[in-house]
Amino acid sequence: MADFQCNGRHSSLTMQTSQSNLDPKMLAELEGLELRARYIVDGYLSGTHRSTYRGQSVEFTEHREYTPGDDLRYVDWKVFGKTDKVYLKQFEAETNLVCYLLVDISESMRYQSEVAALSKLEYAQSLAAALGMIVLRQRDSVSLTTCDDQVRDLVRESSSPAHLHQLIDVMRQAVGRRKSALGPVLHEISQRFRRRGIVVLLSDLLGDDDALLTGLKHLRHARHEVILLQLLDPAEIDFPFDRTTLFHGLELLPDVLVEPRGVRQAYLAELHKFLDRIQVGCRSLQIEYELLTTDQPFDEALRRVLTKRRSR
Amino acid sequence: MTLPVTSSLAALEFTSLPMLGWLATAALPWLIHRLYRRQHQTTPWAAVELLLSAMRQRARRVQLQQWLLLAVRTAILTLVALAVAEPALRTWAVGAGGTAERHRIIVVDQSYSMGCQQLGTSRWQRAQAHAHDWIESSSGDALTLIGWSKQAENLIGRPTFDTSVALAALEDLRLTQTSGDLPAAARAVLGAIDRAKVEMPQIRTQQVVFCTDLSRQTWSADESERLLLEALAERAQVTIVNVADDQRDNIAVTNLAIEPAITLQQREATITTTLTCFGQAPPAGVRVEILIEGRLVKQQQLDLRSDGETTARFTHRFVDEGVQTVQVVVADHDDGLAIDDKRWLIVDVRPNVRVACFAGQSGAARDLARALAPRDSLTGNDGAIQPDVFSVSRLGEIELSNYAAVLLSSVAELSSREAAGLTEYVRQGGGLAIFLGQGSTAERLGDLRQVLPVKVEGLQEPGEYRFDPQEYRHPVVSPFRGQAQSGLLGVAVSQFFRLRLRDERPSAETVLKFDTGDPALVVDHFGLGQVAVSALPGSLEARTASGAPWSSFAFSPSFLPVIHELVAYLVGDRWLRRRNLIVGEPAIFPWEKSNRVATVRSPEGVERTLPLPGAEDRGQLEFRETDEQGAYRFSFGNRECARFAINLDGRDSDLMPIDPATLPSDFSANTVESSMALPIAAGELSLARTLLAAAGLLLLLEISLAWMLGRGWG
Repeated sequence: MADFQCNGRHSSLTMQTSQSNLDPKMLAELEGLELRARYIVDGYLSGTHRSTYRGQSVEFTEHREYTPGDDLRYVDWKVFGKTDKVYLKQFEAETNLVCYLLVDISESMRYQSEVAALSKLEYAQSLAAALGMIVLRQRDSVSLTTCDDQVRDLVRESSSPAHLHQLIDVMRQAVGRRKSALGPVLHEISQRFRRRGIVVLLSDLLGDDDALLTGLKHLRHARHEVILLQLLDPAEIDFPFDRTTLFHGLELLPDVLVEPRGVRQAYLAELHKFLDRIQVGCRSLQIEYELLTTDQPFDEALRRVLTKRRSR
Repeated sequence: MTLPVTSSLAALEFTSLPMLGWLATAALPWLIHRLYRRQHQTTPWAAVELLLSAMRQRARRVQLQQWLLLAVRTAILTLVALAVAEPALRTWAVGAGGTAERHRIIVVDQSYSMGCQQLGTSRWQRAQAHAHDWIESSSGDALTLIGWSKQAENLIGRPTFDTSVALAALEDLRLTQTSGDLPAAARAVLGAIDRAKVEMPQIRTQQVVFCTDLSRQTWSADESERLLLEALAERAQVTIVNVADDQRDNIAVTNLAIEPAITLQQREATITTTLTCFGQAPPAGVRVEILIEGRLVKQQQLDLRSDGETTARFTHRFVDEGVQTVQVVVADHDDGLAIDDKRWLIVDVRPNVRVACFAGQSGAARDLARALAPRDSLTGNDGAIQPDVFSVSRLGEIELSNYAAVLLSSVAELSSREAAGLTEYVRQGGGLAIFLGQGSTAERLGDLRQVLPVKVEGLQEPGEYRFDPQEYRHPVVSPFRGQAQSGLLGVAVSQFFRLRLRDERPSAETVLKFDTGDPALVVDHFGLGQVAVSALPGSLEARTASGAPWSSFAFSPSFLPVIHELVAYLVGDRWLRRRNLIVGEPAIFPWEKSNRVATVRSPEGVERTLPLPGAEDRGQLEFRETDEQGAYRFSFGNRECARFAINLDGRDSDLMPIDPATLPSDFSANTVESSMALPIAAGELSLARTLLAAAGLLLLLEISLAWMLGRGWG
């Protein structure tokens, strides 16, 4: 676990070396986003972590016919026993939740250091896919938007289990070669998301933080619940470089040749100030904020995200 | 006296200028820096803005740190390169007074061992070169140059700031043919130091540089001399530049003598020469040649003893009378020091020795005359000595200069004219022997008393006395050593004159004593001559109150040889000693007013006119310029009046150097070999060590800085 102090405040950016099976290093070997997402979700749900999204509302309303992929926990076995047909119980709450997944696919998200098994984009994609799967399993609707400096793809919400494939396809196609400008994007999607829901933003948030907070503010004005998941690479947190390094700037930023040891402390201070601004801004907007690193086990990441949700 | 204000300049000079090329290494840190910057790793980076922001915060500091490290590293290499080039800050003063605070005294050893050559270079040449370098490097310092041999001479006098003056004096300096006198050098140096202190009060540092071969004969110091050296070391920084080579083996002719002391024409004489071998003797021996008047007369092949003396004897019959030059030469031998391979001897070959015997009483000189020219064929006398017996009353009319010696026997009284005549006779080189007899008193000898080396204190009480020969040390009695049958110890003495040596005549020698301790026979030199005084009469005529002879000496078999030896000593030994001198000793010979012009011909054949004193009628001419060995001929007009042989004293023929460790510590600690570089010269401040020390400190600083900055401190 690595902690750092900045300006006397102790902030904890923890990087746990996980012993669990949902370690990114292991999941990195799984080919296919869907497989990876399934592995994550199954692993998460089979553990002690139970979905807070599961059965928000227990009021049974009606049956619907079973389609492949549906959660077998909602099969009405009594009906099956009587009719030999598989019907799922439909609860009132299943139709209430919309989860808007917003994934930053800008070039900065492609960064992957030597110590990380996944790039930030891969980690975001895996996590978004897992979240989407969880939501769909719980018969809620999930939408996906990929963006960089503008909205690239937007998949409308659906609660169909097959919707996951579409989500994964879209995420798989993300190229990640452009700058990010989340502020204007958030403005746009706040107008396009008509139905109130939960917006989960997965991004490294590297860019204009003022514009970002303004955009988040707009989302909040639209009465969306926002969960901000900031994804950073361990190297971006720790700045472990010791040789003279040419830092090749992503998103058209300039290259910088620097002796890292001489600037490390200053960089960490700047990073901490940046993260503080984000946290303070989120707090003021009542936005749930989590800082995740790409070497963090997915179950831990999910737990932190979903536990927060449950606490509300 | 106030010194004129002068400007003081300084300049940086480099002893090892080519080493400055190492300055190029100062560029290494830059090159490494550039290369290092090229050898970087590359990584894509998303948080460039954060990095840039951090750099902006740290930019100036980081840049300063990098520049600082670079500057330190460059400075280290620069300092090392400069130090290797041996920089020295030279200061000099412009103007007559100078503002220098150091007085450098350069002492150049001129003793003849410095002429030793090896591989074409002599010690003298090396000493001159070193002295030249020391003078050249003394800009800004007060300089004194001392030439050191038997005496030590300050060649410049008042210390000079003008190196050209010192160099000119050095140019005029010549190797001498004398040995070095260490106390003389020490005293000369101390004198120069004292003078500089008085005349140049700004002088704060005294430095003495000896350019010498450290020959042990010169540098061996007894206790008092050692104290002198230590006193010198306390007042000055001493440096000894040892210019000796490794030549140790040397053969020198250390003695050349002739026997008998009175060399007679047509009589065989024995020429004895001593060769001293220092170090290893040549295995094949050496050839020794005897030349008389330049002609080879004898030669001999000698096998010499290593580290010892070997004596060779040659017999020769001098055919011609007159003063002649005998020379011994070690032929065809090169041991690096040729100057001591020869020696000269001036001999006076006489047809006979005329002795005037003056009797104070009738018959008083008879025994003496008989002893000088015995008619008994058993004594072997061949008439070499021709005594003429006179009454003392004829003393005033006899031309004493025709006689080699004058004997006075029982002369009780002398007129002033007679005394003056005898005094002048001795002064001009004659030999006088006085046998005190009946009625003799010193007062009645008048002015002759000044010639006598003794005071006559009256008669000893009659008794039984014997001679004490004092182990036969004196040459007059040395032939009696081991000759018990000679009768010298058996001479019965019943009465004698008590003699007391004059304090003002320390050169007087007691040839023979009585067993009471009183002198029996005393000799001394006076002027150019010799005088002897016997406490016994020279005949049996003298009787005590009881009628007994004063002694049986005249009857003794020892009487004849004693008288002969005495005359030989008065005439021959003294003469030989006067005419055979050591380099530097004055040649003294008589002159008269009628001699208008005197000339001297040096061993190298150069003739020079000598000034004569104008006031007196006669006197002694003293020639001091006996700087070179060989035969010197003095002439009045066309007539040669005197000849002298000047020889080396032989001490410096021992080429073995002294162990510097035996010198006082300040001397031994500062002895440098001539092959080593000069110490930093006067007026120069060595910067090399300072630069290296600074480089070392910077290196520590660089290491610390690099570690600190690497850890992100500062």
